[in-house]
Amino acid sequence: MLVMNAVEVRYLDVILVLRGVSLEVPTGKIVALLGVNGAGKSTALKAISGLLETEEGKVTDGSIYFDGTRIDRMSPEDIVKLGIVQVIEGRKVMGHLTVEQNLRGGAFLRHGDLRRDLDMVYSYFPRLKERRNFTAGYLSGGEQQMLVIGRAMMAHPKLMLLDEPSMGLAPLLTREIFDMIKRFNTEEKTSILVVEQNARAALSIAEHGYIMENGTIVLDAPAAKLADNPDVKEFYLGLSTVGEKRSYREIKHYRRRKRWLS
Amino acid sequence: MDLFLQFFANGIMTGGIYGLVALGLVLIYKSSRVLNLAQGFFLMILAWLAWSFAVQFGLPMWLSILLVLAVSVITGLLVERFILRPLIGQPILAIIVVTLALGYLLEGISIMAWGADTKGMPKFIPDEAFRIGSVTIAQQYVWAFATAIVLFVLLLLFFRYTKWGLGMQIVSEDQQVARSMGISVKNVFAQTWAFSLVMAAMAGILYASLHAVTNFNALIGLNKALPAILLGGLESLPGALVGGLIVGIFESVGGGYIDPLVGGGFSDVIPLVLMLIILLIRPSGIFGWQRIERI
Repeated sequence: MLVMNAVEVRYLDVILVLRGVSLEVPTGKIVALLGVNGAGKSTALKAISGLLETEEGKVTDGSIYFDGTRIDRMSPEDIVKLGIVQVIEGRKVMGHLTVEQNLRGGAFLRHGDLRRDLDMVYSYFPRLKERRNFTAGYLSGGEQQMLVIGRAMMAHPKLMLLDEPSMGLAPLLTREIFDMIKRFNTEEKTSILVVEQNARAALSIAEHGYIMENGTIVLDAPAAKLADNPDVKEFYLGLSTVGEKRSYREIKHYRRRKRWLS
Repeated sequence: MDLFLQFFANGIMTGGIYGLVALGLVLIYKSSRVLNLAQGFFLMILAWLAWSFAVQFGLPMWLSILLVLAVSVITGLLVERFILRPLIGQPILAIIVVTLALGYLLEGISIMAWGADTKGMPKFIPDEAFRIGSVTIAQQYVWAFATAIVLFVLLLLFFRYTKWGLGMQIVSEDQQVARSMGISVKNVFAQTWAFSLVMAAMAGILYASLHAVTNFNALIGLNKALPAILLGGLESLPGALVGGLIVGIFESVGGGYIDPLVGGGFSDVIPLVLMLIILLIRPSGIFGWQRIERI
């Protein structure tokens, strides 16, 4: 179970990105973290996985606990050992290695025969099995996304942090990948925290959701309630009142101060 | 024809040593993108250290060599920890210049410790030469070449079939992703430096036993090994050996035929000419990583 308590994150000691973020990922559940670009969602994930270190960032206030252990001061390698694996945004495959080498790399901290783990990943993503000896850099975007998620699966994490898995993918492929994520959560009991711009896809598999804006959480509710929330519908799901004649006076409506009503 | 074969054979043998030095350079570049301009200087000073153990302290040669290898491992770890690690995140050119400065520092230390003369390395390889047909090859060359090949094969197996090798390849692709997979990038850097200096030590001792122990041996790093890795490709282990062999062969054959015509010295120029040519024709080297572009 992951708990973030009023976490404050600064880059280069002066750029304040997270201002008191508190969230929780219960064991075995899927939680969605939504928000516009620049809200600080990736930063929140990197604070959990310890990768802030690689970008001159630091948790300057608050704390992060995972199953009782305080992790906000630990190095990313130790956090991976605890069972938290982040899939960084941008489909970062090891371009010059093959698909299978990439997957083996994902299981770096595990010992013993990796055959079973590889077979498990191939059962989730059969397309990777077909391409197992291909150079990873030449795979299509969707296949690369499957590869990086498969790579994280190889580590059998307790908590998987997914950063924008649907970025740049066709809707059908997005659906496929999210179905696999849901299946992985059900079958392997892995908790999942998914950051997404595609709110609809994320809320379709999540049990709970948080909305971030400007470095804080502005809305926190079970996924079903979030999907029904009129503000969420308007600002994230793209559903505004249909069929009404829009006068220019109405446009100001979007510039009203957003009050998040839960 | 006999003359050509002789030059060719000599070239292959020296090429093996150049390949060994080049391997060390490639290892460090592959994992951390740092071009270790001090490689030749390490080669020089570690050879001096072996000479010192054997001649000044009177230890048996095999012990001197083992001690020097141990010292290289420790030195590699220390250099990574105290010189390279504080520079993580700084512009790569700054780090390369630091290695050059380190090289000159080593040269200064060497002169202070052992002077600027040339000394002979005690022989530990028998003297008789092999004869294959009309070609005579000094036994020392064969040993040097064999060592280079054996080390190279071991390294290749290590990279391809062990987890640590995979870890090094992953670090060379993307350090942030490597850390997100639990791989300790700092440990990988330390390991590559230790490996690399061990290879510099072996190459240094072998070269010194073939020629002499002198500060000029340091030039092998910049004038022979650097063209070798540019020829072979900066990220390629086989490329390092192939590049070394090509440099060795061209230097020996070219120098053998042209030196008498121009009064000597051309053999030193050939590797640099090769470097120019490869940079103009195919900058990534024969086996180097091409930028992966999806159209």
